[in-house]
Amino acid sequence: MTRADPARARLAPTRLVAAALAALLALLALAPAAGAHATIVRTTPSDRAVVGSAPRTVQIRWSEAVDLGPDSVRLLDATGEELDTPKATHAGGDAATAVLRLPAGLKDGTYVVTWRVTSADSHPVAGAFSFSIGEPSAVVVSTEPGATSPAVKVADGIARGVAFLGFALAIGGAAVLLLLGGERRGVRWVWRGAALLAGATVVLLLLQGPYATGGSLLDPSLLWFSLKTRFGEALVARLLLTAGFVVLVTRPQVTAASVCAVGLTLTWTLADHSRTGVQPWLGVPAASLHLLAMGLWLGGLVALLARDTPRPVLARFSPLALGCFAVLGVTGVYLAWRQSGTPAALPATGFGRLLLVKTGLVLVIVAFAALTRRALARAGDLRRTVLAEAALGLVVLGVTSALVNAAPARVAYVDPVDVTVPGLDGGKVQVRVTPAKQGQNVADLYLVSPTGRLTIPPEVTARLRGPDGDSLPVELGSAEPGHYVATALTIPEPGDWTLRINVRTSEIDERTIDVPVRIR
Amino acid sequence: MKRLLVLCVLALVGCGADGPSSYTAKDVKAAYYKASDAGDAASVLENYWVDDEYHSHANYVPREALEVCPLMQRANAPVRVENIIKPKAAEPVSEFVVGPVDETDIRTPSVTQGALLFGTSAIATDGMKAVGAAMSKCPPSYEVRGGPSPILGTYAVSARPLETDDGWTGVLQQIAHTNPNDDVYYEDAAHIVVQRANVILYLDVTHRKIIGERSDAPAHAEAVLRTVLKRLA
Repeated sequence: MTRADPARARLAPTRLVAAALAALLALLALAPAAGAHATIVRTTPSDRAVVGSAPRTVQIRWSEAVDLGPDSVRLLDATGEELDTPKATHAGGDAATAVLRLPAGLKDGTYVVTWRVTSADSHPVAGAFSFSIGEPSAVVVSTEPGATSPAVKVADGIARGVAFLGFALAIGGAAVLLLLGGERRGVRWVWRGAALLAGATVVLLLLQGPYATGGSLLDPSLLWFSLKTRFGEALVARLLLTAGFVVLVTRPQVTAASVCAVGLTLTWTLADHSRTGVQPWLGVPAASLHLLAMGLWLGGLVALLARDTPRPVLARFSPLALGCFAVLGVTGVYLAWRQSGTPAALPATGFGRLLLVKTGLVLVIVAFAALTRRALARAGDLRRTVLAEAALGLVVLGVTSALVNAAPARVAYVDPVDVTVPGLDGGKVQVRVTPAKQGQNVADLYLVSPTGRLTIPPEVTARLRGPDGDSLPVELGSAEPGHYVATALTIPEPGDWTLRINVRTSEIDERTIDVPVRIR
Repeated sequence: MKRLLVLCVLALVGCGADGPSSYTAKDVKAAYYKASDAGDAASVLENYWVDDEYHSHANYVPREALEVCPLMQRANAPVRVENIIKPKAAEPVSEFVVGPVDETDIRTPSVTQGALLFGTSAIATDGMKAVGAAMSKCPPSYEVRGGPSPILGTYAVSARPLETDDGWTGVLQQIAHTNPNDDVYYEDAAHIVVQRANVILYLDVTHRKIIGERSDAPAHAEAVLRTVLKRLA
């Protein structure tokens, strides 16, 4: 058996950490920007509504719970001047709805409401709508709320990646030390991992306010805001659990340290994509297991590379790694489905492409792991394959940190619904809804004659009927003769909806055509 | 370790950007869509630069401004909004047209392209915000009753947000103009305004369709935009 040079062997982990940082930086640089996660479902008054008298409040409802910052909802007049209002609050404990109390004595004219809130997965979303009292004003103002600095976005992404790395080193190092009978001095990997994790967590805590609100890094009130959000609470818990974990590992108290490790994983999965979207009850435990298995395998691998690890320790690590791979495989497939929804979303979205890259890398790692097991069984040289496994694992970590910063494919993927049903006098009605998701959509409606030309009836109106029988008005405009469009169609929930189209064909005749529309 | 980190930072700077951080008038002019990009249709098209001194009297749009609601200044509409927006500190780039050689050919799309350059990306972004907000406020339908005969009639305007993978964001406005003096054709037009870095790029596609034919100006405009943005990448 050939033995590696001990000096070079000691350098390997340092190189791996450097490689991990390189992977994180490069992947975060290439990562798609975090997209809108919570989507707007309804506003009261509705966008562009004209109301007879000034409403007392404005309500905004999102598709999921949101955190409200100091200036989350602002009221501007038609000249763009911000009006004094109390801070927006959640409506009656409903974390998905914000209420802004309006000042008394609002004059007639157009008002703009801008909002910028933090989604349940800690990413900010923003938008605006307008309403008019009496009649609309002539003056138009920009309705775009402030944006996060690109530097803050990149720094936030890097900090999230470094936190993953620190977690893996701490958990994996502890597993080698406590479960596999590793050398006592291996505890330094736990310390190093915990230091990285704690440092990155503090940075995330400082960045979260500016990231979520678009405010300044130097504004101390934003730290207070961050601490009050769910994500901020999770970060504080992560700091405390990290400290507790180190203490428990050094004592050592295996059971308590294991509980602490599970708690640490929950500080991610209870504050990220896992708790939003479909099946959060299964998404959180699946993502927690995925994270824990990743930490045990990757951190363990790096810790084993630290020195010439005794072969019995390596032999004990092998089944642990196999178990971790099984968990990573099963939970990975489930989480990929949960965040993507359909295979077509994989090549079509940034999230999906990153997921494909990650899957490819994992398959290569599995191949190296098989070689390692074979070498272990034959008492051959393990170092090269283990090193390759660990290096690729760190790259996968970089891809993962980019993934958690990207909008899930299920959110980002646009797959319009295009339905054609029988129409008037042997003709057809074609309806296209884009992106056919909960929230804002555009609906195109074509009335097609049997010859294929568009027909132009005297009047076309439509309403949208929901799965539970609710009926929503659809504001149709004309895009071209025979083509009608609703450019701001807000659909509050997924399910099977029906677009009921009323076509007036003469002064007294009217036809009703129902078009099924499935909203994802 | 240090060398590796330096390389990482360089990679971050080099790979992180989706494209150039700023553009010059020369870059934009070189990227304009040309007749030769039209494939088989190139033989019926010609290229020409618009005279910088030329201004339409029927629809005056200053060079440093962008049209956000066509002919609204002449419209009989319940809600009046601005027909143009003048972003602050804009430097116009000469307009370039790819249109049919035959002046009587009203069916072949004519493409007009132009741009506004700014000193910084932040100023361009502010300008685009104002333009996007104004475009979204353009009424869905209004009538022009005064002016030269060709511009009279009803204007149906619908706007959709536009976003590309390489960071250009903006608005696509579809415009259908029916003229009471013409019961055969309608004017099928699309107006795209997108911004990235220090440039706001705009292009118009216009031609006539027979009433009952589906509009294809928005699809044509998006195809032209893809060609231009590919060159600017």
